[in-house]
Amino acid sequence: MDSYLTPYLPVLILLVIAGVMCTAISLLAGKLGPRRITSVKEGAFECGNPSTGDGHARHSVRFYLVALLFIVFDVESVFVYPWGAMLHDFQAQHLGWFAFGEMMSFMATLALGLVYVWRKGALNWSADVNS
Amino acid sequence: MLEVNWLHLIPLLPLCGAAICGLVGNKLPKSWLYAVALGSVFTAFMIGLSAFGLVSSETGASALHERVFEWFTAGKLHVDLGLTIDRVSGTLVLVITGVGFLIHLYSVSYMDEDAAYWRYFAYLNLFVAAMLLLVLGDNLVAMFVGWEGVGLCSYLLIGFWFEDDAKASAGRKAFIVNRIGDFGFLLGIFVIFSQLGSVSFADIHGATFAAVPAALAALFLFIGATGKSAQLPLYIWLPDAMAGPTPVSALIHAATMVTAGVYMIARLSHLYMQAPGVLAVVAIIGALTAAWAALIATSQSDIKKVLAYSTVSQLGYMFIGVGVGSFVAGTQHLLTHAFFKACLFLGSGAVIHGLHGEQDMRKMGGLKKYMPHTRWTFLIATAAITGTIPLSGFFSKDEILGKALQTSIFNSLRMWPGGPFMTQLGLVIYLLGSATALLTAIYMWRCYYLTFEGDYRGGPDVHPHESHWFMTLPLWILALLSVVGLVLGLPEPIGEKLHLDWASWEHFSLGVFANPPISNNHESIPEWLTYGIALLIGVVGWRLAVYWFGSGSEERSNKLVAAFPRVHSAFEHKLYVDEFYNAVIVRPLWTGARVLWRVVDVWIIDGLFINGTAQSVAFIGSIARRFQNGDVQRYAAMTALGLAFLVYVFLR
Amino acid sequence: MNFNPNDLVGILPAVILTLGGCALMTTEVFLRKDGPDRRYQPFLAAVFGLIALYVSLSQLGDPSATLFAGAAVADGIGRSISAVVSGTLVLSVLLAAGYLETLSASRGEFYALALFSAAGMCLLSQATDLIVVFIALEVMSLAVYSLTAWLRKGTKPAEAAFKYFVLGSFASAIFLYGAALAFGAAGSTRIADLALAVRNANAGSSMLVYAAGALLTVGFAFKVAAFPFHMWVPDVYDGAPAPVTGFMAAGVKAAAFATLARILIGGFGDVGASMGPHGWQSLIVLLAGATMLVGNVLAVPQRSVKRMLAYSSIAHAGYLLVSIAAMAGSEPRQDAVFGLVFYLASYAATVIGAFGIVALIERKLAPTGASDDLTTWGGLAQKHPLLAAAMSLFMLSLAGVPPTAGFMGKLGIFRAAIEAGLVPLAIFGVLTSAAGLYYYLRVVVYIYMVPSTKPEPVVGGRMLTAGVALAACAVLVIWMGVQPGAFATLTQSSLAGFGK
Repeated sequence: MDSYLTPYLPVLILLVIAGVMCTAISLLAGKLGPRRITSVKEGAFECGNPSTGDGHARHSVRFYLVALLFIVFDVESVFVYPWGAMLHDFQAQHLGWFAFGEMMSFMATLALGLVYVWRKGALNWSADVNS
Repeated sequence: MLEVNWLHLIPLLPLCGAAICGLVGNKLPKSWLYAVALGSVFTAFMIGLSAFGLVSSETGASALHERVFEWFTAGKLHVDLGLTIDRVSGTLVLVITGVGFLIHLYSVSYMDEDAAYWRYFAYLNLFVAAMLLLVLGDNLVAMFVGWEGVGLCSYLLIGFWFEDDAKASAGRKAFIVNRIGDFGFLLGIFVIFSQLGSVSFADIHGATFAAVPAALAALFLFIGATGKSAQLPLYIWLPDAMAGPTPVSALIHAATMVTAGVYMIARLSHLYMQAPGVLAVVAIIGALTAAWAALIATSQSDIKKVLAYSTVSQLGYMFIGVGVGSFVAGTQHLLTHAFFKACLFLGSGAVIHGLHGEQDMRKMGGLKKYMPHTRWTFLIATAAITGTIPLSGFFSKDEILGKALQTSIFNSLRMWPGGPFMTQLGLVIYLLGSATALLTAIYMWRCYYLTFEGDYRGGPDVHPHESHWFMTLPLWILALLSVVGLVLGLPEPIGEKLHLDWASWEHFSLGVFANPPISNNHESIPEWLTYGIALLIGVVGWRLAVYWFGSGSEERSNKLVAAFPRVHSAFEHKLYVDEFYNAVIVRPLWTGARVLWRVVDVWIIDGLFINGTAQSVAFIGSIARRFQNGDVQRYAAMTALGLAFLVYVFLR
Repeated sequence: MNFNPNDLVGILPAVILTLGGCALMTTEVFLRKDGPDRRYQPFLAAVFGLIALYVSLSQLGDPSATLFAGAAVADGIGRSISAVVSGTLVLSVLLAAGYLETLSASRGEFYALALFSAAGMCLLSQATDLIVVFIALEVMSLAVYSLTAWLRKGTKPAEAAFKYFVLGSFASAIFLYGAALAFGAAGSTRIADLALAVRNANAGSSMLVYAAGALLTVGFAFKVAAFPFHMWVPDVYDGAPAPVTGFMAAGVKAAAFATLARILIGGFGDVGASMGPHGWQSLIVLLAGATMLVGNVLAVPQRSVKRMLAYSSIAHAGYLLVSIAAMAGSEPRQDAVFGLVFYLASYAATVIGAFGIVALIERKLAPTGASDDLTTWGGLAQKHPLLAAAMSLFMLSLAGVPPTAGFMGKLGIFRAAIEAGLVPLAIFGVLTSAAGLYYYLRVVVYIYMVPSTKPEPVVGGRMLTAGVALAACAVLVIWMGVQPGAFATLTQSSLAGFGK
C-alpha cells in the first residue's frame, strides 16, 4: 500500500466493518423475523388519517424558476461582500480601479440577465410564462 | 530542329474524323460520312506532305517539332506531349496517310454492304490517328499511347464482326498477346526513365548507358516489339487477325501497325547500338521467325493465311535488318513491304470480294480471265516480294541480307560464351535469310498460280467478277509504288549514273539512325555476288513453283506431300504452336482460374469474407443493440464500467 | 496576480462570440412575439461568427502567449480550433435559419445559445487550467443541452436533452473528480504544474496522479463519444434538431479533442509513450480501436440516416483518437497534430454538410412526426440533383474516398500513426473505414437508384441560406481534398506553443 494512503487505512477498515454490519443486520432481520400481515397492521396507526393522493407532490414549475433566479442574484451578493471587504487592500496594491471595473462588469452581466428575465416575463408570477 | 505549331493537326484530323463517324455516323448520310472519313485522312496526308517537303529539302530544317502541351508531371517524370517529324517519321506519315487513304477508298466499295460501315470507318480513322501519334511522338510515353491505341483499334477491327464467336475470340487473342508484349514495353520505359530521368527520344539519342541497363531496356522494349510485330514467340495472333475485314488486314496487319516494332527499334537505334547482345537476339529472332513463318506459309490453303504468314516472315527480315545494326535496311524494307504487301492484301480482298467471301485457294484458279486488273497488280506485287530484279523488294531484301553478311556489330561479343559463333552470326543469318527467300518465292508463286492460273475450280453458283474502280485504283497505285520503290534501294553506282542517288533511302535518312561500325567482316565479298545469289534464288524458287503449281493446281506437289505426309501435316497445322501454347499456357491458366473461382472466390471470398462479414456484423450489431436500448441508467452503468476499466488499466 | 488587458486579445474570438450572444439575447426580448422581424438573427449570428473566424485566422501566425497568469494560452492549436469552431458556427446558423423558420421555432435564444456554446468551445481549446477547462466545458455543454431540446414538440427532443444532460453531468462529475485528484497531487490546477507532479511522482503520489489522468481522460472521452462512453450519442444526435446535431458533431468534437490532447500532452506527456502501466498511449490505442470498431459496426444496421451519422461520428472519434495516440510524447509528434487539426476541419465541413441535408429532409418530415428513413431519401436525385450530388460528396468524404477532404484527413492521421510505430492500429483503422464504405454508399444508392415513393418534393421550405451553406461545405470538402496544401497555414501553425 502506498505510504500516502496508509494513515487512512483505519478509516477504510471502519467503513468496511460498518458496511458489513449494516447490510448483515438488515438482511438477517428480513430473513429471520416472522412476517404475519393482518388488516389491522396494514391500517393507519391509531389517530392517523388514511393517506390520500400521490406520495410525490408536485410544485409549480415557477417555484424552480424563482429558485434559479434567486441563486443567480444570491451568488452576486456572495461575491460582492468579500469584494467590499477587500477593496481597501486592493487600493493599497494600486488595483483599486481594476477591482472596481471587474465588479462593475460582473454586475453589468448580471443586469443584462435581469433585463432578459424581466422582459421575458419570468418575474411575472401570474402571467403565462411558457409563451 | 524547327518549332512549328501545326503538326498536331496531322493526328488530330483523323481523330476528329473518328469522333464524328463514331458519334453521329449512323445518322449522317453515307456520302457525308465518306467525305469526313476520307477527307480527314487526305487532309492529314496533304499536311504531312508539306511537312515532308520541309524536312526533305537539302536546305531546310532536319526536323520539325511541336510541343503540344505539358502533359503530366509525376515526381521526377516530366512528360510533354510533343510531336516531331524528321525524314524517317515524315516518310512513314506519308505511308500511313497515303496508303491509309487508298485503303479508305478501297473500303468504301468493300464495306458498302455492311450495315455497320460507320463503325468501321470510325475505327479506321481512329487507327490512323493512333498510328500517327505512334510515329510522331517525340517521347516513349507518347509513342506508348499510340502503341496502345493501335492495339485497341486492331482489337476492335479484328473483332469487327463480333457476332461470329471465332472472329471475336481472334480479336481477344490479338489483344491478350499484345498485352504481354506491352508489358515488356512498359518495363523498358521504366528502365530508361530510371537511368535517364527522361523518356524523350532526344535525350535517349544523346545518352550513354551502362551495359546492363542498356541491355535490359533494349530487351524489354524488344519484347514489346515481338508482340506488336508478331515475332517468335508471340506471332500467333497475326494469322488469326485475318478474321477482320481484308482492307484492315492490308492497312493494320501488313503495312503499318505490325511494323511499329521495327520503327521503334530504329527510332531507338542509339540505345540499341549500346546493347550489341540484344541486337544479336533481335537478329536471331528475326531470322528464325522469317524462316519459321515461311515454312508454314508453304502449306496454307487460305489465301489470307498465306499472306499473313508471309507478313510475319517479312517482318522477320526487317528485324534481321535492324538486328545486324543496319537500321537503314530494316526501315527500307518496312517501306517497300508496306507497298507490295498492302497491294497483295487488297488484291486478295478483291478476289474474296469477287468470289463472295471464298478464301480457299483450292476453290479458285483461272481468275485472270475474270479480274485482269487484280491479276496484273497481284502479279507485280508478287514479283516484288519474291525479289525479282529490279522491283523494290529485290533491293530492300538484298540490302538486308548483304548487311547481315557484312556486319561487324557482333564482333564485340567475342568474349561472350559462344563467342566464335557470334562473330559468324552474320553469315548464319545470311544463309537462313537466303533459304527463306527461296521459300518466299515458292509460296508466293504458289499463291499466285493457284489463284489466277489454270482453270476455275469453284462452285458453279459463284460468278467471279472484277471489282469497282474504287478497289482497282488503289491496287494499281500500290503496284506502281512497289515498282517505283526500287529507287530507295538502288546501289550507289547505278544511282549516281541515273542521278537518283538523292532518293536512295540510305542517303535520304542520313543522320537519323545510329551508324553501324565501319569495318566489315566479309568485305571481300563483292556486291554483285550477293545480287547474283539473290537473283538465282528468286529464279529457282519461281521455277520450282512453276513446276509444282504452274498448271494452277496442286497435282504435282501432292506427290511430294504424299512422300512426306507428316511434315506437310505439321506445316499445315502451323507447326502445332497454337496447340503447344494451349497445352502449356492456356490450359494451366484456365484450370488455375477455375480453381481460383471455385475455391477462392466462391468459398473463401464470397462465403467467408463477404457473407461471413455481413453475418458477423449483423451478429455483433444484434448484441450491441441490447446495450443501446435507450435506457439512461444502462448508459450510465456502461460509462461507470468503462471508467472502472480505464482506471484499472491506468493504475495497474 | 496582475491583469493585463492584452490578455483579452488572446481570447478575442470567445469575447466576440459572447458579445454576439448577449446582443442576440437582449434584442430578442424587445421583439414582438410573433413578429416577422426575426430574419436578421441568423445573419447577425453569422456575422459575429465570421468576425470570430477572421480574428482567429488573422492571429494564426502570431507567437503563442500565456494569458491570465497561466490559466489560458493563446497558441496555435487554440487559434486553429477557434477558427474551426467559428466556421462551424457560421455554417450551422445558416443551415438552422431555414430549418427553424419552416418549423416556426425561430427565436433569438437559439442563436444566442449557439454563440455562447461556440464561445465555450473557443475557451475550452485555450484553457490550460483545469478549473477554466471545467467552466468552459460547462458553458459549452449547457448551451448545447438546451439547443438539443429546442424543438419542444414531441418526446424525442426532451428525452434526448435529458439523457444528454444527465450523462453529461455524470461525465462532468468524473472530470471534476479527476481535477480534484490532480489538485491533490500537484497542489495546483494548472496543467503545467500537473506535468511537474507527473515528473516528480514518487511511489505514494503516482497513484493519485494517474487516477487523476484516468478520470480526466474519461471526462473527455465522454464528450468526444469514445467507446464505451458513446452510449448517449445515437439518442442525442437523433433527437436533436439536425442543424444542432451537425454543430455538436463538429464543434464539440473539435474543442474536446483539442483539450484532451492538451491535457494528455501538456500534463502527462512524459509518460505518454511508455507502453507499460501508466502509459496512456496504450490506453488511447485501446479506446481508438474499440471506438472505430463499434462505431462502424453499429452504423451498418441503421435505417435512419441521422442515426447512421451518429454512429459514424463515433467511428470518426475513433480515427481522431488514433491521432492522439500517435502524438504521445513529451513533445507532441508534429504530423499527428497536423493530422488532428486537419481532420477536425475536414470532418466539420463534411458533417455539417451531411446534417444540413438531413435537416432539409427533417424539416419536411418533422410536422408529421415521422423520422427519416432510408426510403425517404429515395428519389432525391431526380427532384434535387444538386442536393443528391452534394450528399453523395459528403458520404464519400466521410468514407474517406479521394479526392475529398475525408480522404486527405484519414491519410494524414494514418500516416502519422504509421510513423509513430502504430502500424497495427493504422491497418485496423483502414480496415474499419473500408467497412464504413458500405453504409455510406448505401445512402448514395438510395438517393440515386431507389425511386421516390411519393410525388411531393423530398425537402421543404426556403432553400437559399441553406443552399449557400451547403455549397460552402461542398466547396470546402472538395478544396481540402484536392488542394490540402492551401490549409497548411491552418494546420501547421497549430504546433506553435503546443507541448509542455
